[in-house]
Amino acid sequence: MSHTIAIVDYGCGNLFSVENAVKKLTRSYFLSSNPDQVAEADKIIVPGVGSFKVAMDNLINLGLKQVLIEQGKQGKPILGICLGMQLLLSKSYEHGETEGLDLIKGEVVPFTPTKHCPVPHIGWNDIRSGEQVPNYFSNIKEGTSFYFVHSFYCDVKETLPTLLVNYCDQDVIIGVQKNNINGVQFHPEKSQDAGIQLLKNFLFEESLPC
Amino acid sequence: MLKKRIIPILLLKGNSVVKTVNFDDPRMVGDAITNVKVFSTRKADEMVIVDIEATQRGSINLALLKRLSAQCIMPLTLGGGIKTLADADELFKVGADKVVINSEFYQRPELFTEISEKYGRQAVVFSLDVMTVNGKYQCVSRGKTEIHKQDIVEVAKRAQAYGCGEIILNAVDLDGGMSGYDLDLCELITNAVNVPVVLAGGCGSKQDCVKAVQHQASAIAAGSIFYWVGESILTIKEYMHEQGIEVRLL
Repeated sequence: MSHTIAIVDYGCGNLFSVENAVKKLTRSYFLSSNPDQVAEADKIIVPGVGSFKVAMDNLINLGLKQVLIEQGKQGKPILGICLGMQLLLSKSYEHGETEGLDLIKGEVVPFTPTKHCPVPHIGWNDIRSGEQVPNYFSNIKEGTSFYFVHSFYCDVKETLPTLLVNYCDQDVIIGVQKNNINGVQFHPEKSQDAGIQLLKNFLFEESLPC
Repeated sequence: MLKKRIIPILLLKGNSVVKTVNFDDPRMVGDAITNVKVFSTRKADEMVIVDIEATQRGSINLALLKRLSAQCIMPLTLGGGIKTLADADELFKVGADKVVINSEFYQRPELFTEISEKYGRQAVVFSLDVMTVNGKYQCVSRGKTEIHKQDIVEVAKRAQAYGCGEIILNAVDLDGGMSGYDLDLCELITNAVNVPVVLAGGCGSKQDCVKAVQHQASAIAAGSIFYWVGESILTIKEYMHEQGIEVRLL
């Protein structure tokens, strides 16, 4: 079954790359910054590169904040990528304190650099799953590497299916699923074959009952 | 664990990829699209593409960069003649994950802050090009036509303070010579900053790559070794893996 995918354009995305990857899997997608159009899609991808505060301001000004919250609560599958995952949380401490979409309880906090752990966390790192695996990762091997590029990470405060990476001597949650709400801190659209597989899982999986 | 990255640097001149020696004598090594496809299939960890004519021409070849980035589902750093936030915007629009800047930093370091405030500091890469003049390391820009007086360590720290999230450390004297990286230079800079450092200039063998990461490089960049030696990303990674270094194997 084919779904219509909205890739949300709110002025902070690596839209071209996400579109480039999605295009390899389906023709049934569109880019939009229009809240009504986004609400009508079967699934929503929220990409994102940039600072949390600018992103939230843009979502508010475009009328997208409310739509994403409503659609998320109504059970529409949403995938947040990188900053897009961070936006799903309650708040962030990047450039001051900013409220997020609060679809998942948690805070976005900075890594503390040490000599052997430069920040940003840039590059390929291998992923393992938490106690429960997000559905979008179910057929991907433990230890597969994905591409990361970020200075802040998600401190998720709910018990949910997660993915973890070890960096700066700590296990950091870099993937999460709360029913229909999905987030990945890494960039599937940049992660070659494994990334395409992950996007495929999200795009073609039947919607879960909420 | 975070993997050490291997990054081909592609220099564009027209529609071709060229390779320089000491930043001079660009020799054509092939068509840009073909090169990008090859590195993409061979699973480079990232790719850096710089339009080396952009400054002279006064504009960057966006149409070509867009065609190139459409070829790869992989991380991409783009650069060449970036002077303003608007220039950077254009590169992010055609698929850059990061932009790399050299010359303009010496004119207007605030540019790093502007880009990092909009896209995050992880998206700002400083190309620190270093040449030895009278036995002393000096920063250079505009190819190597401008030499700057400031101490290179101070320049690196300053770039970080202004918002760069990664440094490509380029030893101009070793560029294209394939005689090995400048490992002292690598330690000097990695000890001074806490952003990742990509070491470039001089890679001639698999052993060089191992030494670079043993001297604290987060990633190694190379050009010649892929064009003239016949090593591929895969053979280098296999060797590094045998030497106990974490790399992404496929």
